[in-house]
Amino acid sequence: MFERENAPKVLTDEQVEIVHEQAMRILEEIGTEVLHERARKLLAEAGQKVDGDRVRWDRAFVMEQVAKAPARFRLRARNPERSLTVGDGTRVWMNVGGPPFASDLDAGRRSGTMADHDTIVKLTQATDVLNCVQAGAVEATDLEVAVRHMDMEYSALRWSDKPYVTYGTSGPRARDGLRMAEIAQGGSFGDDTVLMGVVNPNSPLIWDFRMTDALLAWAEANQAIIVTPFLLAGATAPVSVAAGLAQQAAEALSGVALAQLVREGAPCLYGSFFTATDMRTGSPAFGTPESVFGVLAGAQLARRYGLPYRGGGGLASSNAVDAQAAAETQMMLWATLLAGTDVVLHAAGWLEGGLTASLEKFALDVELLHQFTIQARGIGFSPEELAFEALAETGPGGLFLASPHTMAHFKEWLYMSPLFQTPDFATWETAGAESTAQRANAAWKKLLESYQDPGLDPAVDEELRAYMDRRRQDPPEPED
Amino acid sequence: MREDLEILKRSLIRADPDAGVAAAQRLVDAGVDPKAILEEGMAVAMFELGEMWKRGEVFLPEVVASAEVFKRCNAVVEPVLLAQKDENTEPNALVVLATVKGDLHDLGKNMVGAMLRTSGFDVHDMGKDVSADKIVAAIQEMRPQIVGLSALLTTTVPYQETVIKRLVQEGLRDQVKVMVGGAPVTPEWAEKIQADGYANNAPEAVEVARKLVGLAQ
Repeated sequence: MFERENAPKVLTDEQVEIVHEQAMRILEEIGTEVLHERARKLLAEAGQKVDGDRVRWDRAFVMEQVAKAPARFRLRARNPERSLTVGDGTRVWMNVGGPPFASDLDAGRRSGTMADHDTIVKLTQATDVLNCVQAGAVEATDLEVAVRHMDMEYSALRWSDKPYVTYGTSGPRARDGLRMAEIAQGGSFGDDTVLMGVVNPNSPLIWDFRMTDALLAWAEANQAIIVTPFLLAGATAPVSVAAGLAQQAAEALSGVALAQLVREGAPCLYGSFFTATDMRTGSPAFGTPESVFGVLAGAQLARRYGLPYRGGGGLASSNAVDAQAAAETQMMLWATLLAGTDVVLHAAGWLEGGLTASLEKFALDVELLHQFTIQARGIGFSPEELAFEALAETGPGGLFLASPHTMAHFKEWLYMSPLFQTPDFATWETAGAESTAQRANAAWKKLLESYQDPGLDPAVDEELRAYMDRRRQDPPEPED
Repeated sequence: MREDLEILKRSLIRADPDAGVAAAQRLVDAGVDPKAILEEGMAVAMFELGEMWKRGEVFLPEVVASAEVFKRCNAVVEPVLLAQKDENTEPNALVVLATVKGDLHDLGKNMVGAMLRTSGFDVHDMGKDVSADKIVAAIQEMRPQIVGLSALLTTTVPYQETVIKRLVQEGLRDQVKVMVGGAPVTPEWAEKIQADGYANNAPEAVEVARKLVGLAQ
């Protein structure tokens, strides 16, 4: 039921073209700032109008470049059995990334540490519903900022063998990630795509140096680039959804065009991260109608451009694993699934608008994703499932509870959530009136206990560590 | 006079620049004490607006728009006030604000700036991606009472410490109070890097700033 062909259309075909037309107009008439000399030079050589830092993009050029990006690509994991194809309908789901804080019911909310990062990577490895891991699951603020990107990258490579999203928030960090990927892949990955990196323009309409530098590094190495404008209606974009969609298209397509200029055919994703500003606080509001429109409309636009789509996630603004968090996450995940989204960052563990990686929220999200996975299989229609004979046998007024048909199939066919339970009130109260968050606390611990180390060739491990040690002697500037 | 003072207050709360500036001009032309215009009119209105925001009765864009109107009305009143001031009159406390080097996110800093301005502070906003060198130069030149350092990225938060260390090296640390803020910043971090103040949000930043310069709450 979540195939992209069945995705709901929140935009008519005509509206898709209106958004496209405005995106092209934005690029041609307003343009973007590109704060990276080499990128500006490349664009000027390709015939774009460069005036100081401002680049005005020709629509024919942009669309010609975008057409060079593949509609699907193979993402090679260090364990070949874990490799994935992105853009073929496979749902690529991964853990949260980027929060400065971690939290769980036992230790509360605290600044993220390397130990928290390792825990989330291990939880991601342990669960079957996540098939990808994201480095930077939570910021390891206990380590030096100039070098900790490598420790977080190492964590994803060492404790998981699933394909991954690299940390790289700048050119030097992206290049460290590429070098570590080479080592992890046995010395070289050739032209294969072995990681995905996220670039965000500094909206509205600025390609800053650090992100552009990372984009160039990944494009040169033929790695996948998830070009995602972070648009907050009323703050980093105009306050209307329609305008936000057009700005998103302009920013995303300009990034894809630049990547193709660096290396034709480099995999690129059309990224959408659009929501509203809560004007009571200035904070991003997730799970709102605007964010649902953003996910669904973004998918239509990605298809318009023939690009794999990154959008949505288990996003919530709530500060606690409570009813608000559950409702916001449900709103976002339904939209994400219905949109036929290819790649979902932050599918598990996102809380507090992305400021906190919550372990209970991780368990809650994994449970929701598990249920979505079952829904995705659709309804079974075998004769045994149509069960005419079972109905005839039990007959009018009968009870199916212990019928042979029920006994034979209920364990397989009926889903009973380990997290959401249905005891009567008195039983529940007598047992301690446990909340969902408390059950989630037990659930993530159980999942962590089930973690199995995928192992890493000792020689590769040693080389990774040696690389990090060398770089620690000569680290990049912290703010680069 | 009373009527124009009320119009000025209403115009500030409703963010009506034309009516606000006209009322401020009429008050100045009528020879009303500029200090009274500021303290009994403009400051009262902005305090009320701040309280309304805390109660959820007005929204962020309205507060920012009112801050702009405040600036324009102040441009009418302030020259008269300055002309009257003698050497012994205390100027407003000056706050220098910057989003630190490596960080281009300035929404939070801008909110803090708008709220400080409407609370009687002079604000010099250095913008975003600001190096320690530039902050040191600004402090040497402008002698602010407070410098506010903002960071949104986990990778740029440590630069707040870099700036504070530079202030120590340059012998400036005792001359200026340092406030830090930004979504990933915590009170523990502020304490660790020996900042003088930390605030969770813009209204709190105003309260902290007032405390730091010894103003009554």
